[in-house]
Formats: sequence, structure tokens, C-alpha cells
Amino acid sequence: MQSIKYLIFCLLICQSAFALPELKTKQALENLLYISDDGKVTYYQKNSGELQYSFNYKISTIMKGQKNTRYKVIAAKNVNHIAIERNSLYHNNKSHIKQNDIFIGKYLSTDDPKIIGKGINPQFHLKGKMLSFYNKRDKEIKIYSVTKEKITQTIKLINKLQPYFVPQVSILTPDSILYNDVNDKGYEALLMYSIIDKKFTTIYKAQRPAMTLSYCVAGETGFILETPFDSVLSGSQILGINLYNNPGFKNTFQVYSSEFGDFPSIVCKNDSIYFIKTTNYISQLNLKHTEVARINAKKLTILTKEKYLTQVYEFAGMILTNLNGKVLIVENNNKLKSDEIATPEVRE
Amino acid sequence: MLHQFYQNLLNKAFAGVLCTLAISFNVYSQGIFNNFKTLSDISKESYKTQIKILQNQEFNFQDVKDIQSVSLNIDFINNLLINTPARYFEISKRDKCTYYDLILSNIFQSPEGKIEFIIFDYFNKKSEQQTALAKKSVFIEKVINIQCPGSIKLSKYFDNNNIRKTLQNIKLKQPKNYSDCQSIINSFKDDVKAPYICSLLETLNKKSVNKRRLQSLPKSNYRKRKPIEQEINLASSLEKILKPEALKYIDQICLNIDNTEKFCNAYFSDDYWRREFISKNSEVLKSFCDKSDNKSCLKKFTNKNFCHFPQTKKITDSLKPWPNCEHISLAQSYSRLFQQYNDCPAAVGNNDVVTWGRVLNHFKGLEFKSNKNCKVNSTLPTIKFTEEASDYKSWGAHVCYDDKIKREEVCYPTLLDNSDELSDYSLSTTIGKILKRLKGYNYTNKACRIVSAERYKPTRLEYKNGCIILKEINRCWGTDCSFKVILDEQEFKLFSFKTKTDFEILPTSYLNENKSFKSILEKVEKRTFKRILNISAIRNIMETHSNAILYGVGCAEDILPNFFLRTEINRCTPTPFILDGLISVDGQNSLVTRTSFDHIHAPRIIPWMYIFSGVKSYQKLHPLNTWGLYAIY
Repeated sequence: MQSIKYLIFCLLICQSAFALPELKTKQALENLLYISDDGKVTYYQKNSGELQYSFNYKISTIMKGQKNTRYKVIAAKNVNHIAIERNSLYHNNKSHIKQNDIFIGKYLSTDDPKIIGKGINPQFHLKGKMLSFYNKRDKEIKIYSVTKEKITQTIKLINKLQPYFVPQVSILTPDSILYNDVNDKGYEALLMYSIIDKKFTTIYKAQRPAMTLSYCVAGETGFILETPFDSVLSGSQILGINLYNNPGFKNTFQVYSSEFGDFPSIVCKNDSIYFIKTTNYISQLNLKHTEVARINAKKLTILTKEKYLTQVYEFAGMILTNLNGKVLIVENNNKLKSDEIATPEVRE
Repeated sequence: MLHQFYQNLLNKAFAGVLCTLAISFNVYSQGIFNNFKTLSDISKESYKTQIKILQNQEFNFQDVKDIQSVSLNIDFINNLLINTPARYFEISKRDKCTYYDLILSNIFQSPEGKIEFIIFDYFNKKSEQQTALAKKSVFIEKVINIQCPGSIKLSKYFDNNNIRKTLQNIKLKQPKNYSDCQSIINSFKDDVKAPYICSLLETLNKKSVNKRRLQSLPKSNYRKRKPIEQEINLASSLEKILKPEALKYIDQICLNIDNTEKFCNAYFSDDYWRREFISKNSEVLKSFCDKSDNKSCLKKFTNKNFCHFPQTKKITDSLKPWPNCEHISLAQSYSRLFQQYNDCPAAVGNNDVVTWGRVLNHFKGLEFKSNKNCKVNSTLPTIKFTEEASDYKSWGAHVCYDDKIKREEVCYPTLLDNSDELSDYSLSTTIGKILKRLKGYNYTNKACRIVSAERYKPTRLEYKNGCIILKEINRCWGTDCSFKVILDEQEFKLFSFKTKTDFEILPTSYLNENKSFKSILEKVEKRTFKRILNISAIRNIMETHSNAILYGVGCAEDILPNFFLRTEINRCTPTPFILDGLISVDGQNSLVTRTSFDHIHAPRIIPWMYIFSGVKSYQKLHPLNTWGLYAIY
């Protein structure tokens, strides 16, 4: 009996050794909005509706909102700006047509952020010189110039079929905007809009309707993950497309393909692509067995065998995923300096 | 529950069968079929021997000490069980009288076919246990008539003379969903009529065999021909009395009486679309085909991909693509949510209104009156609930005007559309009230018409007089809208439209607990909200409360990961949803789910772990750390 207990104990320990580590932070994880890559700066919110940041053991309030407001904060790399999305009445007004307030402010500053429009999903581009956000009500992508301090471009989506569709936007150059859209037959496509030429070019169109395209950009290459929507029976693939010097974007190469429908989650970081790979599908339960995969230099590596993961994303330089309400670390190559205060010498 | 004595008897019978099988099983012989054949031969031989021995013995029912203690002989039962389809063992477990029902209904078969003799044990006057044999008709009269008179009476209802009338009075309950199906088949097993109903099936199945037997018998053999002719006539009568659907139903239920899963799967999985088609005027089919009563509509569902983007004139604004036809069919087979109406979640514009509307409509059931405008099917029940069920009036859309006499602003809660039967909340009525107050307009005589701004042509005669509400269709939803009022060709501006949605479905603070929709539904409509933490609790609720549904709030990024991407930490789109069916396969579970984004007729099958993750993630962001999954019944 004792030996059985020891055996079970050992098995549990072994199992936990292979499980992904859970992300632990000094303050409540659910309040965190942004952590710098070196871990020194944290933006977070409070239930009272305040948005604050902490740096060098000092706490500062940026703005005060209604109770139970939720924020999203993104910081531009290499430039001193942050963008804030403020969602008031987060719990009591669950509306897909609700417009959140979009602000722009200075990084590590208590100056009042400036409201620039209404929408969702603010994203910095071109090292913080441009900001995009999406107006759900009017189905428009807004491009805001941080230097000019005004909205310089509006792109209206043609999508009428999918009322909850939110485009993924990337600004590659001051002239070209990459985004996805859906036509009235359900075909999704990745498009390039040239501001100067006022012209749209299709980079890639899904091979059939009911497929979704998500993408990430690494240098000059775009990687498009084409996967079927829920309950659509089809395989998946990742295509690489050179976004420059590629007339008509005809030059594509397949990086990965699968007979199973993967989840549309893809992250490009350094020279690697991270995504969720499906290994088995039980149709009657609509259940996928998955693993987190990384493609690097044409080599596919499985990073974890946790079976039921559905998303990967990047945060504070780490690749994270969620399972059962917990945030798990898939990969963390950050070398953080300890900020512990050295214990003083005890003099006798 | 079977009396212990008979339970022991049954156990012995099973043990006997198993031992006989074990003894005759020989790995080096020609296989199991041959062994069973041998067993069947052994049974026949032993039966014949037993009959022969007992026929030579003298017996009189006067020797029986107490008729009540007469029981069927164990070897006799063994022989019956070997020669009767194993599925009927399920019925036989009930009580002693069920054995007699199985004999009277001719379900039980002897090694020689129909039972002619009954072998039984009894105690004689000296209290010695004896075995005897009697003709079936005599046993019925002397024993069954005394021990189980109800069985005799029941068997008469199913004889040739009374069968038509009996069948007309039997109502076969059609299952609406999978859990309903399970309880129906369990009730059928306990039904005293089950052996007789299943014997009808046996009679029908034997019709062609009987016809061949009859052909081979000489016409002079009246004695043998008569019972066969009677069976054939009965089969023919049954074919005339019972409709094909009823025949198929009896066929399935009796063939699978020992296998609930097989019956319910067979009943539901393939035939869902056909059942909807037969039911005529199916609201569900109308979401897929404009001509839902046309057979060409039914054919479309054979293509799984057809359901992803159905093209109909009906407004079905919702999360697309819909699941494939097979998944929708499977989900609907397990679903119990009331759905005899159309709703259009994206056109409503508020997820709480969509899901709460479904909850309210479900408990209203057939009393609910569907509106042609799909948005009103969600907004009208919700506005009535918020404005009439309690003092906390929380509907967000109001039309207001300055009342100069009262010196205050007066506001009316309003829908942004009209219901089929104009209610106090219809937009025409609320605007009409303001016009009456400020302009003396008689809105009861001539209600304001709602017209889309794109179609409005002020030069046309129809727009010259009266009140017109101009809506910008592309900027109008069920809970928010941009509109103007034109009265006698002039724009009426003396009103304001205010919208501020602040629904407390689950309380976000202890102070607001009484204001929450959950609390109001519990107190006013006496509904129970039971917190659900795991699959066992869901299964228990589904089995014990036939009308129960589950209401929850979770992060869309976990529940619908194909549609909502998590691109940063703590990203969570709070999504109300309803669960109303549980699918289990090999210990894993998925739920029939309608999120507030999904169309009511296109439920999704979502694994339990996604639902759990979604609810758990939302719990962490909730100010009261509320676990947002409840059963409502």
C-alpha cells in the first residue's frame, strides 16, 4: 500500500515536470495590461477604474474611469508612446457595436492621454509612427499618424457577411497597409492598400469559403495561416509570401500543411513561427487534440504536448497560452535581471 | 424491482446459460456459432426430454397447495431464454407477471417455436416441491388468471378483435431530444404493454415467413394452417392500422430495447432534417431554405457544407459560417431550447439582450408569440422583463421630451422597431405619445410608419401626410439606432433619443444584487438558479429537469477560438451563452451551445473544456470573482 502511494506521488511529480509552467507575477495577473520586455515597466488597472503604471518602485495614475472599466494598453517599440483602449461598462454592456475610446499618450508619463477616436484594437506600426484601430460600427479601419496627430486614412471593409469580423492590420511602409477582408460569398482575402495609388491588391485569397486567414510578418515575409472555421471540414496550411519585390504576390511557398483544421492563432517572433497544431479530431464532440508547434529554419518542433490548447500570443517577450483560466508559458527567452534588494551585511 | 425469489431464479437462469456456454465452449472446435448451435440443439433435446417425462406423469391442479406459490421451472426458463431474442431480457427483469406477459404475447419462444406447454414447479399438499407440465391454455386459466389477472386482461386488448381499438388509444410519445429519448425508452421498458407492442413487431416481421409456411402446408391440414392464417391476418391488419412512421418507431424501439444509445442515435442522427420537414412549417428549416416545404430543400442537407452560409431572404445576421449540417443535426437532436421563432443576434446589437431573450422565451414556451421582425423576438421579452418585472427599470433605450407643464424631462422606454401587435414599447407608440403630447397628433388613429431612409421619397404622396420614422438601416440595431421623425413633411425635433445600456444580468457588486436579472427572475418568476461547476452536475440537471437550460458568461476567446483571437494577456470578450444538451463519447463531453453570437437554429457543439476555460477566465476578471455558469429551471 505504501509503495503504491509513493508510485502515485512520483507519477504526479513527473507529470507536473512536463506540464507548462504557469505565469506568476508580483501583482494580480488579471490586472496586468503591459509589461516591458525587461520587466521594469508595468501598466495595470484597478477595479475602481484607474489605469496606473509602475516603474522604479513608483506608482503613477494615468487616467480614472468608471468602476469596472477594462483597458487595453500597447506600447510602441522604440518610441515614447502608448495607446489605450478604454472599455467602460465592460460587464454590463456586452455589445458588439459598442465603441470603445481610443487614446494616445506618452510612455511613462502622467500627462492626460488624448482621445483620438472610437473603436477597438489599437496597434502601433512603423516603430510607433502610425497607429491603426477598427471602427466596428462603420466597419472602417482608421489610420492615425502619431507625428501629424490626426487620422490620415480610412479604409472601409466590403464585408457584409460576417457581422463580428475584425480585420488584422499591418502597416508595412508609409504607403502600404495590409489587412484582411471578406467578400459576400464568404471568401476571405489578404489585401494590400496603396495610399499613394489608392489601389487595392489581393495578396492571397482563401481557397474556399469558410476558411479564415491569420498572418504575421517577419521582416520582408508574410506568413499566412489558412485554417477552416469551427465545424468546417478542411485542412490547414501556412504559406510564406515575400511582401516586397514580388509582382502580383505570385511567388509563394508552403511552409506547413496538415489534413486537420488548426486554430487560427499564429505568432512570428525572431525567426520562428508559433502556432497551434491539431493532431486529432473527434467529430462527434467537435474536439481537437492539439500541441504548440514552432517552425524555425524549415524545422518543425513541438513545444508542448498539452492536448487542449487553442491560442498562442506574445506578451512581454514571452510566448504564452491559456488553459482552464491559467496563463502558461510556452517559451521565455528573456534574461531578466533580478530587482531584489541585496540583503545588508549583518555586523556583529 | 423483482421479488428476491424471482431475482434469484433469474440469476440462476443466467448462470445456467453461462455455465452451459462455458462447458460447450471448445477452442479447438469449429467456433462460437457452432457452439451456440450445439447449445440450441442441447436445449431442444433437453426440452423434448423434459416434456416427454412430464407428460407421462399424472398431475392435477387439485394437488397444488397454493396457486400463488406456483413458479416457472428454471430449466424451462433457460430454454425460453435461449430461444428468445436477448433484447427482451430487459423487459423480463421487472416482475413475475412480466414473464407471463412475455408468454401471453408469444415473445417467449420454446425450442419448438410457439409455446404449447408450460413446465412449472409447485408445492403439493405435503409441502414437497414438484415439477409438472400443463398446456398453455390450462396454465393461463389456472395459474396466470389467479396470480396476474391483469396480464390476461391486457392480452385480450391485443387480440385480433380488439387490436384496432387498442392501438387507436395508444399514444407513442415522440422524443424531442436525446435526453427525452432516454427517458421515453426507460418508461417503455417499464410499461406493462411493452411485450404486447413488441409482439406486434414480431408478428409483422414473421408475415413473409408465415406466408411461405402456409404455402407448404396442405390445405387439409386445418389445425396447423389456422393459427398461421390468423397471424398473417393480424400482420395485414397492423399494416393498415399503423402509419409507416409508427411502424418504424415500434420497429426501432423494440429492436433496441436493450440499447438506449443505439435507439436514440438511430432516431436522431440521420433523420433530424427529415423530421423537421415532416413536421411542416418548421421555423428551423425556414432558416435554411426559403421554400422549406419543398422536397428540394430536404435534399440540400445531404451536402454537409450547405449549412455554412444558407441563402435565404430571412434575416439571419449571426456568427458565420454556421456549423456543418451534420453537426447542426446532431446538436439539435440533443437540444431542448424553445426555438420556434427566428432571431438575429447581430441585428439586435447587444449580447445580453439576445441571450436573455432566449432564456425568457424558453420558459414561456408555446405561449410565446413570434414576431416577423426577428429583432423584436429578443428585444420585446427583455424590455418587458426590465420594465415590468421589478422596480429596477434598466432598459437602455429611451425617447424623451421636455414636459413644460411638469417642468421635467419625460422619457419612455422604447424598442427601435414595432412588434406585430403594437405594444406600449413599439417605436411607433412611444414616438406617437410624444407627438400627441406636443402636437396633438392622434397616433391611435394613425400610427407612425417606420421607413428606411434609403427608400424614403418625400415627393411621393404616401409620405406627404402623417408621421414617418426614418431609420438609417445600416446604422440601426435592435438596441441602438439613428432615426428621424417626419410629421407632415416637417422634421420633428422636439425629442431626444437616449441610449445607455447597463444590464446587470449577474451582479457586479453586492449592493446591486437585488437589481440583477438573475435575482429578479428568481423572485418574480420563481426560477431556480443553480451554480454548475462540473459535467456531473450538468448531467444530473439534464436528467432530472426536462426543461432546464444552462446560462453562462465566458470569454469568447476560449469558447470560440476559431472566431476570436487572443492576441494579448487578459483579452476577453465576455459572451453570454446557453447550454441545452450534453453529448458524451468515451468519457469526454461536449455541450450543445448557443452563444449570443450564434443563430438560434444553428447551435454549436463545443467541448466542455472550452466552456470551462471561458467561464474560468471571465471569473478572474469579474469584480466579485463570480463563477458565471448556472442551471435555470
